[in-house]
Amino acid sequence: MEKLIEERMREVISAVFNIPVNEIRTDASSDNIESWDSLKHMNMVSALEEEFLIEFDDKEIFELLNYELIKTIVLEKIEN
Amino acid sequence: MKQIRKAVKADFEDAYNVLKLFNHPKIKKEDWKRIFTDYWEKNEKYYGYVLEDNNKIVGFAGAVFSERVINDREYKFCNLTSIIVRKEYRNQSLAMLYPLLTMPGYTITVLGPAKETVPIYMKTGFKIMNTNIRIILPKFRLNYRNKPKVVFNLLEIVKLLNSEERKILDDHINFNCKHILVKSNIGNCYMVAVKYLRKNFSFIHIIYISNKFIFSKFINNVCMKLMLRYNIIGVLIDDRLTRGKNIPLSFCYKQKNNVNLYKSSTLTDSHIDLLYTEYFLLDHFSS
Repeated sequence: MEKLIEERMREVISAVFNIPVNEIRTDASSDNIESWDSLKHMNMVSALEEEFLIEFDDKEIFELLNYELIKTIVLEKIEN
Repeated sequence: MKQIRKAVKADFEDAYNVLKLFNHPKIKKEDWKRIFTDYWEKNEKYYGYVLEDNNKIVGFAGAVFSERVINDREYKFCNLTSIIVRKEYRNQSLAMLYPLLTMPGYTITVLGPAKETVPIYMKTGFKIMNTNIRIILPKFRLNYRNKPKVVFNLLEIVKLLNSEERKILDDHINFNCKHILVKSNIGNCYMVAVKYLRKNFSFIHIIYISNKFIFSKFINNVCMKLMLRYNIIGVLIDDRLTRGKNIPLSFCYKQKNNVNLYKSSTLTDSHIDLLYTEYFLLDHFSS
């Protein structure tokens, strides 16, 4: 289940930042993805919400800045 | 090493190197400096946030703080201004804005943000402010029965203001605006307005009224007085400020290219005027 969610999450990130899925490493973050600006960030937030039918609060929106945090928050949301 | 921290007065010179990137033809260095100047009493002793890399400022998000009394209750306001980040640091802009966008207990405004940033604000709970302008046409049938007196003399106005209105006058006395008071036997209305020129025509734009009822009741008399006093062809007012009141012989003009946003858990946009904002500090009214 976790693997499948991670897979879908990678696909969302790949589509938003326009990078191949296999290039998204677990240390991916706003620091090492060049196209990660504020607008793309918000697009990613919306895309994740749509993909997993979840909603992030204000604090979470600003926390989704790297792969591991995105994974943790998304999994937490889905489990709840 | 990158860091985000509160902007202090001493940051101005370094921050100016980033603010220059706006390349705004009418905003000069001394204008930008006003963002780092304490014009209005406030609890916060900082001017926004800066993004630094190796002790060099590479991004700035200005914050104009103010405290207002509305309907006998105190409210804290923050007007976000001059948000800019060097291109190579754009991935850090949200982190820089985060503390400002999530301040609890504040009514936060963003006036005229770049079009592409609007979804970002909307996603974090901002709403679109009604920026329609009501254009009031002159009507020659005046209200003679309860004829109000329109006072332009500051010394006379000061005597007739309550403490809240007096604070507004004191706080804006050094800026490019007009202070007007409508005095009637049923109550007074204090107004703040700016005069500006558009396509060779002069207008008065009212941006604050203390009493909607008095304003709408005597609108014709007030209009005539303003037109004669300031040699203008029309009186404008932010439509949201007169919400719920019928303003005769007037029509609404929708500003298509001007989006203002606000986020508040306590106020609606009809309570939000342009006082205490970058409009005054950067003199947007004349630009």
